[in-house]
Amino acid sequence: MWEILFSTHHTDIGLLYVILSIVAFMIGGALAIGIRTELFLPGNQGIIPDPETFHRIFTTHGTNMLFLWLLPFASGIGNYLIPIMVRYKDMAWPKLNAVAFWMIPPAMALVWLGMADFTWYATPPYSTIRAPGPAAEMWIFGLKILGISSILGSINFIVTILKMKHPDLPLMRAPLFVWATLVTSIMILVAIPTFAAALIMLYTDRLGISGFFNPAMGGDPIAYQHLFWFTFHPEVYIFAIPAIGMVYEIIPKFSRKPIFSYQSGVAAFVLLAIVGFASWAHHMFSTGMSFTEKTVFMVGTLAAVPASAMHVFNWTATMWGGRIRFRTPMSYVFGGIVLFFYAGAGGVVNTAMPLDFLTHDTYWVVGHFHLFVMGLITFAFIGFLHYLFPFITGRMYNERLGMLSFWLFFVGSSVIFLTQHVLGLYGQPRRTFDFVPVEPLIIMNQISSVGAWINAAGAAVLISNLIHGAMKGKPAKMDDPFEIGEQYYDYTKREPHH
Amino acid sequence: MEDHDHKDPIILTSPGRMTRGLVIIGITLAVGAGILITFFDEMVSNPPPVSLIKQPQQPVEEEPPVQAGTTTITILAGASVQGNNDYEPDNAQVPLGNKIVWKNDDTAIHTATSGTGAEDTTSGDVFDTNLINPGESSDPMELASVKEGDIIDYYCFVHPYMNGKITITAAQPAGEGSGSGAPTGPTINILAGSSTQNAPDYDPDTLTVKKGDKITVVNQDSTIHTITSGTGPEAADFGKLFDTKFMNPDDSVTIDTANLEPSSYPFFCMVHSYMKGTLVVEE
Repeated sequence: MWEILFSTHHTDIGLLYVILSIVAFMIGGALAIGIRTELFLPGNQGIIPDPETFHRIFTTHGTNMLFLWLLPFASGIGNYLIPIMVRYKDMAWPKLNAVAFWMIPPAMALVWLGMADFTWYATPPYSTIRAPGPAAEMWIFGLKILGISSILGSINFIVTILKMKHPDLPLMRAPLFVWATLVTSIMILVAIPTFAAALIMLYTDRLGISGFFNPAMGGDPIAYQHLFWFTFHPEVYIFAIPAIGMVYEIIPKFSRKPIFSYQSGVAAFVLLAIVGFASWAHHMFSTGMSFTEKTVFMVGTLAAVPASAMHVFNWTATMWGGRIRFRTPMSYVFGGIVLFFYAGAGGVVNTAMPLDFLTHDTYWVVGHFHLFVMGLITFAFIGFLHYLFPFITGRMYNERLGMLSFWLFFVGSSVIFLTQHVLGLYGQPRRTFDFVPVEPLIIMNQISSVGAWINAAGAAVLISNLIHGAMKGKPAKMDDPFEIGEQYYDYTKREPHH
Repeated sequence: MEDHDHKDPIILTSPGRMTRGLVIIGITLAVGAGILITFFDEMVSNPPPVSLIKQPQQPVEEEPPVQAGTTTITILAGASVQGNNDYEPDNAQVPLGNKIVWKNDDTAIHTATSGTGAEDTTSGDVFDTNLINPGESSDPMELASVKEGDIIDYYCFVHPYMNGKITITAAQPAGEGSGSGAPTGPTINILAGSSTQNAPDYDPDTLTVKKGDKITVVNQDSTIHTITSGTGPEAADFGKLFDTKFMNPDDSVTIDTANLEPSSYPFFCMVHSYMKGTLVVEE
């Protein structure tokens, strides 16, 4: 065990990333179950004692899921597979890789032990003049460390892919997951520094030695939102693109057909990366922007639709006429695509700025982005985890339990998040401890909470299946563990150059 | 498949290794949960340092009760163009306790907001008219916590290049003012209905003042009028000595006689040239 903890080998570090992110996913999910259970009925249910604790819980849930589940999991799979896929013995800088990973646990401790209460946006003026410390400071430094870790990891990926790939492997023949990781890493390098600067400003504002975002000192709270979303709208694509890359790995294998169009996949990745930077202010339509600004960002946001649609079309065309085998990985990916479609449809509504004024800060938004992060991204991640499970452990998980967890997650997530869209249209604001006790709100909140419990059951099945499979599962047939009649990991034919 | 590929031997995870890993994770989480629960409330017990910085409290002085008069400052037509004259008078002498009315003669919306500009953190503390529509006047502004000799900068929030000053002078003795909001000193009222020919127009028709007096002209009619020096529009030098320019209904304008030699001056209305009156200035 210790040889894994102190290793600098890419598979060991990838494994550590994956394990840490799954742990974060489970305890972050437990918080979500707590939130939904509290909201089963209006008024204080006693599950969460008071509104301040409620704020601390959803802040930590959001921060945890985005930065300790989605990002580390993508890094973990990247670490595990990128050197294999580009046929190099390891990452370019193994020690830097280990450093990047080991920055995460302290940051995780800061975020979790503090449990700040200012939402994962940390929006001023509340975050600067009122949010209590030391939780707020711990959150700020935790995210600072996570940002540095992401940047170190990205540099490592970019150098590994561009400089260390096998000379016989042109970039345009590398697997699409390599492209996804490359594009994501470049986006991280461009996006993160803005937020890193904003965090320092936030901290000095809290100390009272600067007033960047403090109106009492001549600052502008809206400026923070611009800095924040300049990082975190592209971050949405940083979360999504690795997941899309994983979908590209799974679908051709389980459809037993080559990918429909490799080039359009690459083009759509690059396109998404570019337009991802042209849409940040669509989170801020209701902050009093001029009509011209809103129009520009509305068009910039809609520009992401064709790129996303190119991916979906590519997947559909790959599956079309294929002999699809719905094992657990394929089921998760397929379900993810369905939920992604709903998320995209809701996104088009949000970006139409007159409609955005209706949905802003309501449960519509909660439902919308959860369909995206839970539906597409998490489903693709869990599917890929099942796909890679024999490769990592040499054993097989239980296929029936895998399918059971998929159905629980798929039904649960649909029930929770599609209902939340309607809740938002009824006007229920997000991030509130209580809601108006009228019949439609009560019924839909209860449906949503029941969905959350279904998801909890799915998570329990998932984790017990994985643990049991890793301990006592049947040894996998490494050439074709899913019985799809294809070469399983064709990139396992490694010819490392040293 | 070629045979020379260096396939790593697959190491099956063993129950023992897996259990050890789970124990490590479990212990870490248990320790973390213990710390979290122990210090849960302490973690949100400190307000941010910036909220503890005390703003210096300014002592509030009791203002002497003064009979309030009203001073009118005009925002000239064309003031919205940078470089044009804006506030008239640019440096108004306002007796302590007077209320101030800004009259917007321009075609654009303006304000009079105390301070040197939008960056000034005390902007609007002394007074702020808010937006004054074209042709309208602001509410009478009371100046907060000023004393004699104060010079207050103000500007237009919409056009920050429009700047003016107010100098607070000695309070007017009580009784000289004629009640709240009413003009003080010699007054010419343009009577309601004066636009009709032969109807009574200026009240009084002949006003006698001392040199240096300020005359307040109030348009009580429902149309535009002027008080323009000269015998009529055919006189070559009309309006050279004094001219209120166009006064909207309910406007009031001040005529300063400091520059007029003691004499008798005929005046008329540019809009309605049958409206005539006389101003007599004495030593």
